[in-house]
Amino acid sequence: MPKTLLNPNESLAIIQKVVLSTRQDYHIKRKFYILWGLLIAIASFSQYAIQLNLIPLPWYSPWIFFPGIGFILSIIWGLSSKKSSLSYYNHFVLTMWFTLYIAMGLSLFVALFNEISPFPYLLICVGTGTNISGFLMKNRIFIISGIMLGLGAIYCLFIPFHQQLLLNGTCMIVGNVLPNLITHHV
Amino acid sequence: MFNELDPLLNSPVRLAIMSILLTVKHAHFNDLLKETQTTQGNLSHQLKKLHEAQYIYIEKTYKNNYPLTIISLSEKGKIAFETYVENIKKYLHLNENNT
Repeated sequence: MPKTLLNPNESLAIIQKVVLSTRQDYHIKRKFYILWGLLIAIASFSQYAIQLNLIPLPWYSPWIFFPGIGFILSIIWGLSSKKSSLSYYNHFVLTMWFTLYIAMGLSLFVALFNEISPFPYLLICVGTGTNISGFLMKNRIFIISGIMLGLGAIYCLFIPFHQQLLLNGTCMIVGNVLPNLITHHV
Repeated sequence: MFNELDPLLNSPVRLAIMSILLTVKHAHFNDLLKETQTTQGNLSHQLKKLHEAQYIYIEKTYKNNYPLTIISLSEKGKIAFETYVENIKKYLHLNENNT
């Protein structure tokens, strides 16, 4: 048999080796999640400072300025990044987070329209995404973070608005930014 | 003994390419080059064969003035790969319960 042909055992070995190594090699680019987690946290803390009259700005200004930075940086990074192959897993996770970001934007709009706090809804969205990512990755840190964000959403209902700002910022850093910083591989 | 195995897939590089494409939505040429550990010329040659058999789609585009080749599995390729794996299982006397 020519060397270029395979017997079934060799074929199976190649398929197994390639599939396993491919799954290990494709990572999610976490910088987007870290960026947005940080920006939402900073926006929350900034609004808290505005509420305490420490910063003389309109209350809504952090929610225009910081997400604005996020959009610009995301577009620049997205356009300039070296594109790599896209696994089905990463495709699913990216689509999920894209949908959740739209849900967060709509929640924010609905909450502001009804003059209620948006933070429980934001934390539920981020918590849901983090939890699903954690279960898919079989990563306990993300699963626990997702649960923590969900508990934070419930706790928001029992505290005044200005404390919700601090809680939201803290949850974003502890439940979103830190897990993405300390977890290197999918 | 191996007559029933798809001759197009019964080669190391082409089988590796198809296995990778099964796990990704799409792959870039350089990623396939890295994963298959073959030469650029050989990879191009094997991709051309798979493309001619309509097992894969090849999209050639540009990114930052550099050529970018994006490869993905076609429905025909997916069915061919599944049939190939089923045939291997038969040869090895494997079934769903003991794989």
